[in-house]
Amino acid sequence: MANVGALANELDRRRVDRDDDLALAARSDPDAFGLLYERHRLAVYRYLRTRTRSDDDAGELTAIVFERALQAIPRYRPSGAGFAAWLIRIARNAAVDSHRRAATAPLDIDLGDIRTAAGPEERVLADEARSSLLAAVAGLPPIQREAIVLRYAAGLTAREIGDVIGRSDQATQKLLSRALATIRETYRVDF
Amino acid sequence: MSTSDGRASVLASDPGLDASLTALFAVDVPANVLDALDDRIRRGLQRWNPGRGRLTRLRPGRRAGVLAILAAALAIGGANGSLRALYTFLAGPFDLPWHRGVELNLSQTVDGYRVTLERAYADATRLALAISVVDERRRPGITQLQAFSTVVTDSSGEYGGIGAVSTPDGAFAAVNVAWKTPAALPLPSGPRAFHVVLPFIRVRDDSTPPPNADDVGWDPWHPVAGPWTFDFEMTVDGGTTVTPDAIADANGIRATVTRLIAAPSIVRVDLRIDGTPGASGWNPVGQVRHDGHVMKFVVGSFEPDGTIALMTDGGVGDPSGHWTVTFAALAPDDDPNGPKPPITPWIVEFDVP
Repeated sequence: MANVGALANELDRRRVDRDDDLALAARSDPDAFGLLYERHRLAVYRYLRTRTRSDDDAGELTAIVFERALQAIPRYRPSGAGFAAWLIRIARNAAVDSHRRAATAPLDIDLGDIRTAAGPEERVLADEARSSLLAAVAGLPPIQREAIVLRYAAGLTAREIGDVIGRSDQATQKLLSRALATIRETYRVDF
Repeated sequence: MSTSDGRASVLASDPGLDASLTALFAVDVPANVLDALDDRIRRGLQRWNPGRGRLTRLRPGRRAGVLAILAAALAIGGANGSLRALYTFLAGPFDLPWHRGVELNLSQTVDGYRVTLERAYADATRLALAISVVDERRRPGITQLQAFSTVVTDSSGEYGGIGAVSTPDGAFAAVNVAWKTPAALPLPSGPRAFHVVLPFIRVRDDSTPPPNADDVGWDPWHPVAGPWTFDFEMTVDGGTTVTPDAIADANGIRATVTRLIAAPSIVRVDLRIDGTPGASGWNPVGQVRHDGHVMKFVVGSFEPDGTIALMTDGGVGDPSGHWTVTFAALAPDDDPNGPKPPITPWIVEFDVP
C-alpha cells in the first residue's frame, strides 16, 4: 500500500517546486506572475473572505495582495515554506492593515452571507449543518481558529501554516489536532 | 457515533469533518468580483516594469540585424520543415549551442507539449541552451509556440537572464536558444551539474484577440503551465578572468574596464561609466581588439550594481597579449530626448601575461 502521508508530502513538495520555478521566472516575466495569480487567486480570496464583510471587500483586498506581491516578487527567495505561504502572509498583513484603517476589530470568521449551491430542501439541512460547524469554528481560541482558516480556506499545509503564524511544524500539527478535536466535540448534526 | 436520542450523527468522523470544513470555506468568487479582480491584475501586469538588471540590450543596429536573421530563419524553416536545420542557420552568437555544445537530447512531455533540451554549451561567461518545443497533438488553432521561461540553477545558485530567441518551424514546433549568466562569474572549468526548469511555455493560437491600437498591453501569447524539468551534467569550457581596472578619460567622462573574461566563445567586458550627464543608462558602442583580432560588442546588459556588461560575437583561446577596448560613442539607452554626450573615443589598453 502506498504511504499516503509520504505521497501527500511529495505532492506538496512538487507544488512548492513549481511555484518557486514560476516565482523565479516572474521576477522578469509578467506571464509567469500571471500563472501564479491564476493558481492562487481563489485561495487568497477564500482566506480573505473570512476576514471581510462582503464579496467586494474580499475582492478588493485580493487585488491589493497580488499588487503587493508583484512589487515584492524580485525579493522572493525560494526557500522556507514556499510561495503559497509567502502570499498568504501578504494577505494576512493586508487584512490587518485594512482593519486598522477601518478602525474596527479584525473579523476572524464572517461567512454569514456566503451562498450555498444546494436546493431549498437540502438547503435547510445544509444550513443547519453549516451553522453548527461555523459556530464550532467560531468558538475556537483565536490561534486555533486562524490555523483552521489557513488550512481549509487558504488550503495551506501544516508547514505553510506554521510559516504564516510563526510556529514550528510540530507545534502547528498539535494546534490543528487540538482545534479539530474541539470541533469534533462540539459539532453535531442530527437527523 | 450516536446522539442522546439514538439518531446517527453525521459528519462527526474525521473524513467527514474534513470534508465539511473544506465545504464550509469553499466559496466561489462572484463573477462580477472576479472580472474586476482579473482586469485590475491584468492592467497591473501591463504597467509592470521588471528590474532592469536582467534585460538584454542590443545596439539599435544590431537589433535590426537580429530581426533580419530571424525573418530569414522563419522562411527557411517553413520551406524545408527541418526543425534542427534552424539551429544551424541561426547566425552570430546564436548558433553557439549547436556548433559548440554537447548533444543532450533530453525530452519531457507535459500535456502533449514535448520540450527537448537538444544541446547545451557553457564557458566562463554563460550557459547557452538549444531548446525545441513540439505540440505532439497538433492542436487545431495553434499558430506558434515559444519556450523562453528557462530557469537554471546549479550549486552556485540561480542563473540570470541574458536573452533568448525563438524561431517557429510551422505551427506546431519551434526552436529556441537561451543564454543565461551564471550565479557566480566566472564559471570554473570542468564538469558541472545543471538543473533546468521551464515553468511554462507560450502559445499563440486562435484565441488571440486581434491587435488593438488602443490596448498598449496587447499580447498575442498566453502561457501554458508545465513544468518541464531537466537535470544534466556537462563540462564547462572555462576561460580566463582579469581585473585590469584600466581607465580612459575623455570630455569629463571616465570609462573603467573593471573585468574582462576571455572565454572560448565570447569575451565579456565589464565597464563602469562615471560622469555621464542626464540619461540613466548608456549603451557603449565599441569593440575589443586582442593581438590584432577585432571583436565587436553585440550584446550587453545593465547589472544591478551599475556595471555595464558587454559581450562580443567571438571568443579567444589564449588570452595572453595586448588588449585594446575602444568605445567610439555612448548611445543613450532610455532617454532619447535627454542630453547627448560628445562622440569621443575612449580607449582602454592593458596587457595580460
